[in-house]
Amino acid sequence: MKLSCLQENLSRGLAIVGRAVSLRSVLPVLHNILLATDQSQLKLSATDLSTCITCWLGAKIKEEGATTVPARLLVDFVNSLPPEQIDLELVTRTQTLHLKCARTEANIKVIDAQEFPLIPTGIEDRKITLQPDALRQMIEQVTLAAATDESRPILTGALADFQEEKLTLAAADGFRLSVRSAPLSEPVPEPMKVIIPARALQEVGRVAAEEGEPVEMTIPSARNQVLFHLAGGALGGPIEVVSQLIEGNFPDYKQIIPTSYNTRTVVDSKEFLRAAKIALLFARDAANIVRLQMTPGEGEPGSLTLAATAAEVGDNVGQIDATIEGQAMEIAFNGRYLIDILNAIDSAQVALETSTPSSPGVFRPVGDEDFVHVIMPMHISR
Amino acid sequence: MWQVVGHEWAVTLFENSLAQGRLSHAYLFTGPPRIGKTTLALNLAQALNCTGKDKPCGECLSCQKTSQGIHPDVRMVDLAYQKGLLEGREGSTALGIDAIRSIQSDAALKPFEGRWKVFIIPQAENMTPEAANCLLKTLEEPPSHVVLLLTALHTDLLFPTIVSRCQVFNLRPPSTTLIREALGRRWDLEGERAHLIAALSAGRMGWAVEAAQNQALLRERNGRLDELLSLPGARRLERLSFAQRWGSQPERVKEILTLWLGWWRDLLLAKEGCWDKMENIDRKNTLLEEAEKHELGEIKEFISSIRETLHELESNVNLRLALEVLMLDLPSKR
Amino acid sequence: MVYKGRRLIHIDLDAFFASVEELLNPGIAGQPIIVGGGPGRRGVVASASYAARAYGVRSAMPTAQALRLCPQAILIPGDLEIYSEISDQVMALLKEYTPLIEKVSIDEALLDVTGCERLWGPAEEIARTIQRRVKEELGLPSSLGVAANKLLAKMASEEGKPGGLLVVPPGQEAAFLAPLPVERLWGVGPATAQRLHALGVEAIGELAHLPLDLLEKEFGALGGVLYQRAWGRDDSLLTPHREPKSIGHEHTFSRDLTTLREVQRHLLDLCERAGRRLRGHRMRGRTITVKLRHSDFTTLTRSATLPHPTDLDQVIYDQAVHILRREWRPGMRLRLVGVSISNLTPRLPSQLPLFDQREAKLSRLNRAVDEIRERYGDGALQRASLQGAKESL
Repeated sequence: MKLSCLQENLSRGLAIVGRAVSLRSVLPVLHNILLATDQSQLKLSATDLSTCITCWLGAKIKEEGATTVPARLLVDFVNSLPPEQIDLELVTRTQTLHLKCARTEANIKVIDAQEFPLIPTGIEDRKITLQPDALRQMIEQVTLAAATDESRPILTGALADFQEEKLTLAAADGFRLSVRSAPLSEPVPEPMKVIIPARALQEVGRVAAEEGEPVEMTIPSARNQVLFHLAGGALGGPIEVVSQLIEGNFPDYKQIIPTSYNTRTVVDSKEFLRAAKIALLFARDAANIVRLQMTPGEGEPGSLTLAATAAEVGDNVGQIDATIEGQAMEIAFNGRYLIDILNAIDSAQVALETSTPSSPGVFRPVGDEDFVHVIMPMHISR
Repeated sequence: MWQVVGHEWAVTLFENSLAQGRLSHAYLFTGPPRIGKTTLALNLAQALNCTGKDKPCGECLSCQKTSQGIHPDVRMVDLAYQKGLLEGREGSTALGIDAIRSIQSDAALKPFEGRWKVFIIPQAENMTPEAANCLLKTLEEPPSHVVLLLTALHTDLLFPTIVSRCQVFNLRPPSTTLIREALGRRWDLEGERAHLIAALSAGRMGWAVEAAQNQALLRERNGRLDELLSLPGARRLERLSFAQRWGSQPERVKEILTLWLGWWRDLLLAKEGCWDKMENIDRKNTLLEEAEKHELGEIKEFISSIRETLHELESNVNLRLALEVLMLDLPSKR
Repeated sequence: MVYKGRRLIHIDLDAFFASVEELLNPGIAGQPIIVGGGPGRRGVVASASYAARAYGVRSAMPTAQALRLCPQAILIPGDLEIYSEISDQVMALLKEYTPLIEKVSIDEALLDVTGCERLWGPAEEIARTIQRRVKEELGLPSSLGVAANKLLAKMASEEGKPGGLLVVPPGQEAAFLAPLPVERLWGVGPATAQRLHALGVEAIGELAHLPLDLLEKEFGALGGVLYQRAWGRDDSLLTPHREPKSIGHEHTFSRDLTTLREVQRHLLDLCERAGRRLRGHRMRGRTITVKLRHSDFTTLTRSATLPHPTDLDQVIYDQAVHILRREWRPGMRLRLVGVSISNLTPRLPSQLPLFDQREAKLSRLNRAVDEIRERYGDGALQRASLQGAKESL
């Protein structure tokens, strides 16, 4: 393998794929990034066997070939080079990659490309096209509810449910649930449900947001993976994120979303978020408990009161105007969860539907029918 | 081609299961050390994901990756794996719960390249009780694409609940004839040396392969044997200094005692005139001479002393004390 | 022997639950307040404000009766979580003075301040500071007693109620007790009081001057204890609160258990006891351990760890049965079965689970059952499957 490319491009490409490099790994080669010539471009790939990121960048190929290079050293080295042309050459005899840029040279030990896992690339005919901004928001709103703790692996993923002209994404960590649906540009040939690791989706969201390109999605026929393809990356070539799917049955989330409420509280999202942030300062040392009190107004606007107390810190009470339908009530939530959801909503107002202090609270952005978020309250009564 | 030596019945069973697509989600291979349990597990892992015709073909990319230990869907869950997880932090000598948790989250993901995700847990008796309890969860509800392959010395060393969820293969040591043939076929080792190594291995195929490739192993055995042979003629103080020397190296002592057990068993065989079952065939004359010097009862008694000491090694006794007792049991030269 | 040098403080929060309610809702301060169950058949008064006590309302009185005595009283169902949080704040304040604290109950604690003089001044001054701080910082009235031992400190705070601070100076123990009616003495219940009255004893001072052998003849071992107490002697030590590491129950059977059904039935009983104790300690546990001893005395213990801590009988039992079924072999003969829960964490106001709303329901059920058993005894409620099990226990 022998090629030249620009330092800025290589550096950018390494930054894109570098996020998939395994931190602690069972195979030594997973600490490496794959470099391969591919149709007169340089292909970079990294994977932790759960998420794979591949990107292609413009390069002058003199000799075809492939190898893998330790990620950390390569990234740090390339980032410290001047923005000029880099020449790369694989010396097969010594199993080293020779790099030369301006007046700096280096030889880095490689591992044979044969040892690198086979990462599927290329989009198939049966694909679904998603718009980047909608996709990014959808992923952000849904994955915030996914579990980070591995004790129930299935909850570390998000369910993607394709039905005709609609995609529904759902995630839950055992205490909260996010469900968001989006229309598809064309109907899917057959209904399909897969569970995608939340971390992979977040990578897709990040790349989609950075590149601003539509994302094509395909599920290769073996149905073990899902592949996201962005055609025109800033580097001149496509970017792909491939994720292993999670096996198993996702819990039936639909039955968790309450169908009725006793109190519906509509407030300004920003004000709610600010009040929640202040309350959390005080709730941090007290299990993050933030108490919400809904008081309907008699002829005047009602109010939503947020209160938090911590033994060593003090206490805080904040009040915001609210339109309240139904009866007065009190309920407590984990303040962290409140902030997570309010941060992810961009509508001016949010509605909170509640029934009893121990039944789920439902958050809906006002004017957006496609998103619903459910949080279980904290138990404060006897 | 299955690479295992012996265990034909197990291989036949796997071939049928593979052909009929009727696989268990968990297999347990039990038997003495180094008889090929892990090799069989690795072979089965190859066969499961093999893309060739005659599974395991040993030649397709999947088979090659498996044998090189770089298949993304085949995980050898041993102490080295655990050390990798701990990022260099010194791990314990038992397989802990973190390792098992890690394979659980790994198992939830569908296979990367192959059809099956295979987790091999060699020496499963080496798991902590927490790890074993945790593994039960996966054994009870294995994801559809997961196969677990465990090896252990004996089913008694595992939770019965683990054993009951595995298809158990109780493997016996392959015969020395089989080992000798395999040495000739695959390691180009013929004649006297193949004969000796096969005999000395006493069914431990792993040891035979190692000895075939590493000359030092036989030399080491010769030195050790000479030392052991000098002990019956030695004075009590020398014997005790032997106990002192090895008393701090349990792993080595196991080897030495196994070697010694083989020697005394050979003496018994020599006494009975059963030449074909002997291990130390290169020392036939010494065996004959020595056999003359001891009573049959004496030999039998000492064999059981060695066995007892080996048994005590498993139960964390004071090693030096155990060796001292053994030294005092050792029959003196007449 | 009473060690003269010891100085103990007993603090008792006055009408604690009612005071907290006044604090939370200043509009009702000063009015008769009853915290307790509804006036239905089973509600009882957990706490009554002093305004309500003026009408004769007392703790543990049926709510219906309390409301007859004081119809204008404000009845509040109460929130144990909040009371417990505030109680913790009080305890945290006390800890600033000494680590030797025995939390007697949610609204009572004993402090050993022996040797703290150089740091904080005399015990009396510490007590005064604590009383002022609890009022100013937490808004709660309290009564305190300062004395040389637990018995006297407790009795002193009782005498000072409400809002008092009573010091029993060293050497004055018997003199402090002498004029008090015998009923006030710790360990003297209505029955004992009546028998003392029959002996012509009304005041503790009179009890102190009865011949010891007469007391022992009349009351057995208790006689000696009463005598010592009447003289203000008590050398029991403080038992600073320690969190238990595990909570469990086991039972040895007079006859081996041979069927899975039988074992399960006993396991359920053990799980319920363990769950109840867990809730009593306000703890939750994650690891459930089942212990089985065979007729040949070989013992097997197996544990499993839950994803989240629990204090629910049903969850504990489910896990225990799961373990049991894994280990059970036909023909087994068991002479002992045990269950324990470890990996304990205090029960914070808890996050309710999304999927297992069953747990929230079970939690309410468990607490209701605990409450009934607390009042009517263990036999008051039983699972149908446990009926008949007691005979064989």
